[in-house]
Amino acid sequence: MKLTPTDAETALAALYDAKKADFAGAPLAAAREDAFTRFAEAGLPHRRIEAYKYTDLRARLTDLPPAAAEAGEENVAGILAGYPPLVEGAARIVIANGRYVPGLSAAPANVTVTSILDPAADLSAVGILVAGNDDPLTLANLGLFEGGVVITVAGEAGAPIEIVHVATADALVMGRVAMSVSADGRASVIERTLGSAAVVENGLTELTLKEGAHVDWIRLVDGKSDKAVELNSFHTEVPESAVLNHLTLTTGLGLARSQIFGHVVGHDAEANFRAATVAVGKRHADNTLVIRHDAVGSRSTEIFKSAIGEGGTAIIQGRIFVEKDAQKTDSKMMSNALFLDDTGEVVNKPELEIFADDVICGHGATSGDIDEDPVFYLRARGIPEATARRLLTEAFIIEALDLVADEALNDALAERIRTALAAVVA
Amino acid sequence: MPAVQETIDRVAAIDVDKYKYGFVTDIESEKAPKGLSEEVIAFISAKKDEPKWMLDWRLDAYRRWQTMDEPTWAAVHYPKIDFNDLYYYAAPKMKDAPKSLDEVDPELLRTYEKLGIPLKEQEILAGVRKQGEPSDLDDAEANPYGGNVAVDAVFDSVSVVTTFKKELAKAGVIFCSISEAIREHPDLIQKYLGTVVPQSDNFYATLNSAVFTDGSFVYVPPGVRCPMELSTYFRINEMNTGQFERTLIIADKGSYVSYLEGCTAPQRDENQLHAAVVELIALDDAEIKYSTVQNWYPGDSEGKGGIYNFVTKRGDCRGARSKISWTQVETGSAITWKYPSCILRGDDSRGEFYSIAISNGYQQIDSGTKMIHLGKNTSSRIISKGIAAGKSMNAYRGLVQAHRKATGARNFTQCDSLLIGDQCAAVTIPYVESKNGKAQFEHEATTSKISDDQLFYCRARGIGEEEAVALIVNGFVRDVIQQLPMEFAVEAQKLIGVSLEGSVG
Repeated sequence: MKLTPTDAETALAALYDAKKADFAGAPLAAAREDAFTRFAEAGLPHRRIEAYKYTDLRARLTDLPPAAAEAGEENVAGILAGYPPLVEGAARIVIANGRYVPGLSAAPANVTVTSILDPAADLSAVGILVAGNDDPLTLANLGLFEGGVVITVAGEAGAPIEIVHVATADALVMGRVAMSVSADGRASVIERTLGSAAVVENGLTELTLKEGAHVDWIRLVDGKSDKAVELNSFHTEVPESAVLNHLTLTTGLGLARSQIFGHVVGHDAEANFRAATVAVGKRHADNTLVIRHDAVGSRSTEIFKSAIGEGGTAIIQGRIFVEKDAQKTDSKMMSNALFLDDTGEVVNKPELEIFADDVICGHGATSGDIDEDPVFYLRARGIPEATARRLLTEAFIIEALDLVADEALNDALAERIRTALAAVVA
Repeated sequence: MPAVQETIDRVAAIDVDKYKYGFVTDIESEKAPKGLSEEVIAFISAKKDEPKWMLDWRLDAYRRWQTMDEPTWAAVHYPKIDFNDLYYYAAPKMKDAPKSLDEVDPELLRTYEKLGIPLKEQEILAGVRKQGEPSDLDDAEANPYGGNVAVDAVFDSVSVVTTFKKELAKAGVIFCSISEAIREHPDLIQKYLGTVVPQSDNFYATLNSAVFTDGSFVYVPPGVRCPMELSTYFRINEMNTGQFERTLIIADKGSYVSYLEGCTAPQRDENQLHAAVVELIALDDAEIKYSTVQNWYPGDSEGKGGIYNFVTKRGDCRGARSKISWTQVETGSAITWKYPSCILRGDDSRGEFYSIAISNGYQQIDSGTKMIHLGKNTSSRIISKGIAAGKSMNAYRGLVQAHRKATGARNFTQCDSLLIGDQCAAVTIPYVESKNGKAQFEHEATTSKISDDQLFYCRARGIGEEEAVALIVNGFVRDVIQQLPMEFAVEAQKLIGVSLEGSVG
């Protein structure tokens, strides 16, 4: 049954109609048309759509802001100036209001960056991973993205890459990132959003790895106000002997939904996903992950750590899917949620869907408040109760940073977690 | 070793074809006109000699059902059911009660024999001996209750007979068919029917509310420990019929009852529908133990035929310190869609769910439980073991939920899946929702094949391969078997043997 379009859906349809003329004849025009038609057919996802049962976007996205206009470079530079890169020496790739800003971006050695709208851009790897995907947020971005970047890494990237999304107004922003890494290539990426406090963002990333590639990807989600909406879909494929370590660190305010669609397609491939979430101050933090194993002898691990308090909500949906021929798959998922007070809500939905018989797959999920035994242990050693609780809570979340090898970066991320917790944990 | 070709061949060669209850009893029966309408519902109600309020209740459900859509969210696939192509009422034509075993319709006798109902109960079921009359087979004086199981036998749409009613009545326990309860105990029915599974709870429960034909009713008065196991045996016999039974069990304050249900059906190429509703109510300090050995016809090796088992089972721990425990062994049905649940309303109440679901051939199972924690210090435990073989699909779907006021709630869930062969699938879909920081939930699940190490260990000790697999599988499901009453544990052990027989070369 088709529902009556909401104001937001009508606005998105109007936006698409208005944009249509701009990209007519462009290489991705047909894909845009197909994606938006499919999105419009189903509309914004709501609670009766299983994957969105706990994050009803139809109900929550009532008044969409207008689409963002192109940002002035000076304005963007001003915003960037206040936030140095998280890792010293990182090369910044700047996407402002959904559009690539070459003047403020730099590419390290072995990395090329092109605007996705540049007629000269190599689009051979763009759109492959999302083909056939019917996720509504993915489709909305594919139809409506304002711009973005195509990043190619050939060999080892000369420096860490920091992809910075900047919003200069409280607007609707849809940028797109497509990155491909050559065989045995290496890259370390941090992705973050800066700028306007009430931005409604629906980002999309496609990460294509070749055999033996190794990528570490960290995404910071830190909404600046309770009006912030941060939606993101990360699509990736991990082939033979390739390794992907992905971390989503969610703090801040507002509504966030971070989606990962991972496809592990090669022997000895390894995909590790971590999510550290501090959902306080009515934060709604949704981490949704679908991992599909499609090759003999591949591995994945998923660890979700969430702290909830002050009316915050943490949603963790993780689905491991093992195809019929993916024998010897080893996949383990764990989700632990810790209540900081009595006001939050947590939903764990760790799914397994197994079609091969010679696999080791497991998942675990826990929720509750802090264990009193270690609190007592620390108090018995002279540590005040409040400090003991704070230390244990911090340590609980920081566990999700286990794959962040760079010490300085690990410290910086841990500090963000401590700061986010400080408001609730005395 | 189950993944070796020999194993796969064996599993494909045996499984569902081994169904031993697939015979048909040639017995004359009376049916309602085919299809579903207000007239058919009125026909059923009239057949049952029901009061008007009951008919109104049914018609209300029917009208609501007409506005509902068949659910499609479960991980099962089947062709659309034509609800107008079914008989909603079929009952064997009753003759005068026979006086001796010689006079009993041999077909009926043979049916009971084949279904394995114990002999002394068979005698009562066959109508040779009235309840309370001494029997050569039953040394009632020496052992007034021990070893007895009171049986309510439901054949298609009617309860054929209920045994040991008088003995139970002495203890104040009411055990009868629900049709009889509607006539004899309307106050209890009106007070409790539909209070756990509301009239329009879901598509199939609503259909059941409109057309339910029979089922069992149990009321255990305050402080009474039911002196014997109660049991209902469901048998579908007629073609093109659906079975829609309704069971209502009320354990009043401080009482205890253990109830068992078994079910079988003939082997037919058509699919038959079974849509039951079971409601359990436990008041303060009461305990209900509900065990099921589900062995409906699963369809043949090509996936043809079999029962569609769409069941709504829910228990309400309404009183403080009450307890409801569901134990199920699922081996039958082409499609199973059932989630025996507990609403933990009373403070300190407890819910348990123990399940073994074995799927073979083309069987599809989407089953699990819901534990809804509403009261303080409520606790629940879920142990679910799924074994998938052949081309079957075995899904666990469960919900554990703590409401804002469920301080001190505890849940432990363990669901394991075992795959035999590479044509089957195991799915685990748990929903763990907590709105209370003082609620502690733990969930763990694993999926694996039988470990080579375990097999090697057994074989190195001189245990044959097939025996070793049986040993490992039985160890795997032991947690569940232990919860079954003794008589059924033996039966369940046998069922597991049947389902996995020959699965290893």
